[in-house]
Amino acid sequence: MKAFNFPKKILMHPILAFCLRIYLASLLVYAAIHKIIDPAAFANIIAGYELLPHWAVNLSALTLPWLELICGFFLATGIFVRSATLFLILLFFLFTGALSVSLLRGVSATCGCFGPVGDELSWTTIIRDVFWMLLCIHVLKYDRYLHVDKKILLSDFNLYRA
Amino acid sequence: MATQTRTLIQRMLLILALGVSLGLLNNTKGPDKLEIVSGWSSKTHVPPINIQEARRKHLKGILFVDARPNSQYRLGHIAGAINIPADLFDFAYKMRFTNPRYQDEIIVYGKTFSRLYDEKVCRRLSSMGHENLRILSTGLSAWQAEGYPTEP
Repeated sequence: MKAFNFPKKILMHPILAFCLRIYLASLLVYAAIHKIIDPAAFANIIAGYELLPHWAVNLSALTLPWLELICGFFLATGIFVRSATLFLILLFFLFTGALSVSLLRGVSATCGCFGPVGDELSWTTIIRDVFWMLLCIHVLKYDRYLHVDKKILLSDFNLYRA
Repeated sequence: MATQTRTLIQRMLLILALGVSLGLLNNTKGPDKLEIVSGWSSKTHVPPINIQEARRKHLKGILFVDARPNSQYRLGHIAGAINIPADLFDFAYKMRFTNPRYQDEIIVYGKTFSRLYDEKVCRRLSSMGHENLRILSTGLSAWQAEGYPTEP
């Protein structure tokens, strides 16, 4: 019975969740920087999906990479980890939905996950997004190391009690 | 629990506000600024043309310009239309208009749900000296719905 518990323990261990958090943070920063450098190319990719109305395309291309960058920064530094992770789950949910709809409609485009140069849209890219979303859920559930905001709040609480 | 949820939502809104602010702020500098809301500030003054009139002109052999990207053009376009993608305008213009006749009428189409390719190309054609421009703002879908000829 103990033998069965061992992999479960590893899977649910906070250290694993912390490693996944750092992995997600670096992934997001890497993805965001490519899109921030060339927002026009990213806007063209978004327009290629034909899902957003024309007035929302440029606005999304300008803001989405920064949202990824901020979430990545927060995950790496341990600030607002739960909120940033929850925000990312929502983002990945939206991305997966958009990619799936486009693939079903037969749209031929690059996925745009890492800027203009990227993989062609396929079921593999969707599975990859779902995988990242699952990693976020893992971090949300099990990560509890180096949460800077929690430490500050805790110290405030202790000060208040003293 | 309610306080925790409220804090969580407040922080998520803070992330959203930070992302939007930084994105817009970053767009204020540099040479490649994007128009924040596409088609908002740069309305074209090119007169529109309705689908029936466009068809009459098509029968007369007036030049049609497809402003969409080449990948979309290759999937289907108005019969005889040439492709001048908005993003590759300079290159495509030089290729297609080797001897431009500025007074000739040109009908531009290419509006999609996510992009106003037609307006962008009209602005560029205007700046090149073409005066007799019309926009088929209903785009290819209305043309196809009427059963008018397309290629391939």
